Amino acid sequence: MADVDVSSNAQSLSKKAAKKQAKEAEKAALKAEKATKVERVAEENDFAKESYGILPLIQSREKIGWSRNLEFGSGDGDSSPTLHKGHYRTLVRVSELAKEKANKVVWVRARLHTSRSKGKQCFLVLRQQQFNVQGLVSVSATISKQMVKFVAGITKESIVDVEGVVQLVDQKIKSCTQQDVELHLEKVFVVSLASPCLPLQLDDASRPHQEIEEEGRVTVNQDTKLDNRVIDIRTTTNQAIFRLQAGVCSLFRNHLIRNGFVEIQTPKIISAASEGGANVFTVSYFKTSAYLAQSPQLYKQICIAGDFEKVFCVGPVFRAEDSNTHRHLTEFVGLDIEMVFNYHYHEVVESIADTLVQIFKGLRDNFQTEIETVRKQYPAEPFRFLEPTLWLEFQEGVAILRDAGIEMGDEDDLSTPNEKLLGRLIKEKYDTDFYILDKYPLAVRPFYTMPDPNNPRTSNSYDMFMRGEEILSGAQRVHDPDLLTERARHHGVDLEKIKAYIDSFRYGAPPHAGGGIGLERVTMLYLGLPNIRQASLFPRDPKRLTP
Amino acid sequence: MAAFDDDLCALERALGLDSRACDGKDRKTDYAGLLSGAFEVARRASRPDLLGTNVADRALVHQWLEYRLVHLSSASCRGGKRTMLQELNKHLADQVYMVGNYLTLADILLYFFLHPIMVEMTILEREELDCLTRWFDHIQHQPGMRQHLPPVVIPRNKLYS
Repeated sequence: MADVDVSSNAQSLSKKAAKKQAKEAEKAALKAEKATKVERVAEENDFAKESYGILPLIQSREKIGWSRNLEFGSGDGDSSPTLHKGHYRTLVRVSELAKEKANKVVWVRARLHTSRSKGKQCFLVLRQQQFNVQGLVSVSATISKQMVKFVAGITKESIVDVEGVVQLVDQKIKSCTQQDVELHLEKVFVVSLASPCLPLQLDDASRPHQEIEEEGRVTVNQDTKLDNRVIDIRTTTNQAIFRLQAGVCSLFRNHLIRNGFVEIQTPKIISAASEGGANVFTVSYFKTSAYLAQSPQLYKQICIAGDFEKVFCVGPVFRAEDSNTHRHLTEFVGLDIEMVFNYHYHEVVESIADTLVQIFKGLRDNFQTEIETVRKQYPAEPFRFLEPTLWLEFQEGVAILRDAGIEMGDEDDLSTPNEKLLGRLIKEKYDTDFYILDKYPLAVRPFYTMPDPNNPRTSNSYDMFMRGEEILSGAQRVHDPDLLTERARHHGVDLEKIKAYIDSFRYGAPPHAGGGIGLERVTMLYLGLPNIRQASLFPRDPKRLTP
Repeated sequence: MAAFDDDLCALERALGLDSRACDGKDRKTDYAGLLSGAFEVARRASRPDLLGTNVADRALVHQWLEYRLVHLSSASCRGGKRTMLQELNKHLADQVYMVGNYLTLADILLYFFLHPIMVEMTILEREELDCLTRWFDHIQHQPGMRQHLPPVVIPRNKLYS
């Protein structure tokens, strides 16, 4: 009878199994039906499909908003390009979104800085260089749930084209530069999608130090910032710093050109080290080797002896100093001046000081927004200077240091800590961040410095300081070949190597003097930044060669 | 206990006593410890006020001399030095002198002890310990106090804000 039992069991099992299978199949079928139904419903209900999406790659397929229809005599009789009537669209700058544009419909292209979605709404911040504005997408008759979901999912830093209505707000939006309005978006298109994992977050990179310490927030390491410079320079602080730096350059140029200076270009691949053999980069030059110029000194002087009288040049300077400090770069931009004078080198010193003061004034008057922006992340005292510029002799500086208890010899050069302390003492005594120190001891200056005729231990040389750090080193140059040879011999310089240099003074050379400043150092010290790498777009130092 | 000879000799000179006993030879005295030696010198100089004019002040003078003894060793390591200086700075926040409002042995002996430390500090460090620096400057200008020691120049205004 066991057989019968087994067989009946087997049968009932298979029956049960069959029932189970049938049930499961039913369930699966129902599920699948539901899913397709939801999808169809979703597709059906997306009435805003045309208002959002990722644009195809802009390969200049069509002209939207502008065309060069040179129809002379059209309209007012002028020949300016007319707007193509078919595709009319002008993109408005975020900086122009203000009360005046209330209730207007505008197109804006900006970066998606942040987005935050809450159910049926999504708030976003659109950023364009230093300006940002709040945007809002909410479900409505024209905007679907899918659109809000899409907008919330766009990755940060993507470039988007949006169309929206400018609306006035009751309360000022403190976190944006455009505080009076917000943009109610109708259309959102992605022009360029950013990769979802950004190597650093812009908000972290532009956080002020105080906030980091007080609230224990995250900060970005300087090395990470420099490795991912393309994102780091998007922060409002960096945009401001480099606009100001460009301002320094243009103020320098314009002032000198107005005063009759000629801009020259000097070679950077040279045959002999100009400042001394230790800190120079060697490059292979066909079958021999050459050096990268440490300064345009030699060529400025040849131009002076070549009757250009007042010259300046703006170009890279290469110093192979293995110093990893906060103020040294291996490559930086040098702004160099050289000019003839009539009877006393102080004529040149006044001219150089005047140039620098004009730069400070120009920055103070025209770049106040940038200075304020930088101050938000790097708080510093405003830069103070006197008119006329404070001008002390080296011995007076030594006396001030000795009064404060520092011991130093009469012919000692100023060490960096002493320079900084002297800067503090002078700031406290005279209330200036910029001053000149004249008549340095001869022993600590290069061989081409003209000695003081009244005192054999001093020289006609000078340094200029900003916030206690040296920015310019200059002197009256020796323009007599015999004196130059003697000075070179005294310093133990190999005369063979500088034969060409000395020869350039054999054919009548006028008395001249000059000096050079570093663009990055001036920017860093004017703004009070802690590190020179923040004032250089792509800094070079002994440990960094990229980007 | 020749260890305290320098301090005691300097104390003698500061109080106007003849310090011929300090020319390289051991001082001839029964009181060679810092506290006992200092009290003896003060007695010889007829300056009992330096020990403290009332019982409470006398106890405090004892306390600060003890402090100086105890911290002699910790002052040799950097961490100990900082804590000690910060403690002194805090104490001097509302006091002109270490004990009460008159000069005592505590001020004098602490001055001699702190002098080498103050000399090698940078101006920034001195400004951070502003009360200590103010007290130090006051003591070093007391007549007869500084003797052969180099003055520590304290600028009138703060350089580092």
